[in-house]
Amino acid sequence: MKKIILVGNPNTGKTTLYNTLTNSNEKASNYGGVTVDVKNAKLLASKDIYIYDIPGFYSTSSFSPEEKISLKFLKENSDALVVYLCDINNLKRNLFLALQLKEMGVPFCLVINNTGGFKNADELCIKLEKEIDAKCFLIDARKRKKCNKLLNFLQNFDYNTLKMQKYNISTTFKIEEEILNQTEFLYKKIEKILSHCNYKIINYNLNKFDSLLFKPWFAISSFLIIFLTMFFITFGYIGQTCSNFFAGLFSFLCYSIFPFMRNGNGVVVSFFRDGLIASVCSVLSFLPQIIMLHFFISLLEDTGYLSRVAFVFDGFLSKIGLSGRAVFSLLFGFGCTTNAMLTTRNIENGNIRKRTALILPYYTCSAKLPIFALLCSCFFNDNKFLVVILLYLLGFLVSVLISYLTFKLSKEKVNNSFILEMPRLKMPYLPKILRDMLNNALDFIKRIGGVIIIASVVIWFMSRFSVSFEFVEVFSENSIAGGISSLLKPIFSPLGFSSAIILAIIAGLVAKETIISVLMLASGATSVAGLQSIIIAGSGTLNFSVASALAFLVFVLLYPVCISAMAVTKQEFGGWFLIKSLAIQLGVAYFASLIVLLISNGEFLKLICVSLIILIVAVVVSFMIKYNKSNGEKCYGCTKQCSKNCLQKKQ
Amino acid sequence: MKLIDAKKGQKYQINKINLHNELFFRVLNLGLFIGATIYVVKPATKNMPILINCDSLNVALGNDVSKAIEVKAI
Repeated sequence: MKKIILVGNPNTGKTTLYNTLTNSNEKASNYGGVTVDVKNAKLLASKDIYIYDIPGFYSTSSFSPEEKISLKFLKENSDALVVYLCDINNLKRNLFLALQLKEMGVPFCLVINNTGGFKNADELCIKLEKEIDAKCFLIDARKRKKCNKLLNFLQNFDYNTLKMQKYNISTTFKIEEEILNQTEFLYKKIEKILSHCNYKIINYNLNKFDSLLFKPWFAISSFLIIFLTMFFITFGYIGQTCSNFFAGLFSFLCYSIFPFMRNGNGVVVSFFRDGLIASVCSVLSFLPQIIMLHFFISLLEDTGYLSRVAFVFDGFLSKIGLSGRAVFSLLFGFGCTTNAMLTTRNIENGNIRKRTALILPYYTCSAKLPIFALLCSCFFNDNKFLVVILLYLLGFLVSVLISYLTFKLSKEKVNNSFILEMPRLKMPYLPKILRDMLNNALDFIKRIGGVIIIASVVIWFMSRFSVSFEFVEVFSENSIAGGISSLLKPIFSPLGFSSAIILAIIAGLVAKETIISVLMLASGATSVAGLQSIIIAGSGTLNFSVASALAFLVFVLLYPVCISAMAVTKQEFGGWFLIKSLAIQLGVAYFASLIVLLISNGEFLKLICVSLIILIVAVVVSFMIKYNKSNGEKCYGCTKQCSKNCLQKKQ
Repeated sequence: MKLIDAKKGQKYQINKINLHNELFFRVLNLGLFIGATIYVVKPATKNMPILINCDSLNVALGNDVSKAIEVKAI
């Protein structure tokens, strides 16, 4: 197998180039730290040439988790051709690692990105080729232009000339003075090379609009306006109309193709109608709202606006034990918690990273969106938008509270080491935004095609068959699922949840999208409109009232997200962290929804009792944490307790 | 003087970096080594990082980082 590795500083366009060269759709953005793991795909029109996209790093003295992954990968694959990517606006800094690689004997070709609009780029390319003694190419990866020359070179390169060799890459820290001298030497060398190439550094001064984005009053108010508009369009009239249209369309198509399903009975009809068609169509009908949400997030990302948000919120976040860098992960959390959990790798401080992971599940991922849309349109149709905003706000406030409490209890001294490259503010590039939006929509459909169909079938079986495997026409406590729900009923009865709702909550642990499927199955509804009528009537297995609907929404907002997010949490932070995180989420979800239920029902005496219990539990837990706290220090880049000899330990 | 006290629009040269190991390498990787010239785009405030330009790159540095870097006006 022939290998190509894309190497370069963060935010030079490696993933965008990788997508172009392999026709892939990996997540790429205009701020560093989006790629946190090694990805690979086959080079276009080739049989056995594979391209590896690795996280960006600045030098061989890198230390954050994702940078270590890159260095290790490079070391283990010394028989690969390196494609070294530079940004033409940032050549002086980007060539630093190129020269280090050259010193180590790494075989590479130089690719200069973002060349659109740069004068004399061709001349610069020819001169750099001579100065660096490596093949040089010009591309514009964002617009997928000028990549053919590079593609031809990679397709026709003689990979047999590359052999395994031993790179001298040190992943531990050398003496500071030694590094400083090497840095000075290399930068002087780069200056010399660039002056030979007649390259002039153009300092980027902020324009008037960009300057405004760094002013707190403008930045915060514009952030709120943008997000409110985003939610208004997604959940308001436009989003709901599109969603209703899709629901009607799917229902019409299914019953036109299989007309016997409409009124038929029996196991087979029930399996296809209730287990598959109704479940899948109900989840699919929320596709337009998910597409809209991702369109706005991609739009904000592509302009460079999110980095400005990180800058402005750094001060506030440092007060609750986070850093501005956490903004990227938290905003990703509005899309998918699993992906957001992985992006925490770009946070160097282990404690901040853990705290970010702890609060991420409280940020409403797009899978929760259909549930909010469904119940809000049933009970709060006139104020639907307001209720959804309040739910998002509640999730945010709970996350702030948990982060603040864990930060204060841990008594950390160093909390705010914010260092961020600020990308230039750009006009959004519509084809890229549409591509991102489409990819997210496809991801959603794929999830429905995989885990949601399997979960729906399993739940259909459990809700339509009794323990003795007799077919049950409608969901009841005689079914397997009904029996399980009945066992958990004493726990959930203070929240006013019926057996069917408890089953939906359990199924939601697999994936939040399955909640709607379970509600459909349990109610016997065959369309979203039918389900809405059953919920509004408050009859049958779904005995929702306004209060219990609110409590259910709060529970869904705050309880553990899904099985894939849990798996990633365990992989990144260990089993013990996952258990603690799940315990906090379940406790917070239970008590928060109980409080909401008691307030909605006006039961203030019970509310006082519950508040006292929560207070006592909080005091006991905080004392336990305080006295059990280990004296050992945790280091930057380390997620586990460090030994005395850890080279990354603070000095 | 400390970088945190640097004025907007003024050019400075980095004199000393007093950061502990890992942050020292982080700033170094962004071209902020001793002798490097920087330009203050936005001065630091109590709740906001400083924004500096170093060889065409804008870099935001949190208050604890900018407190640990010493500069001289040029």
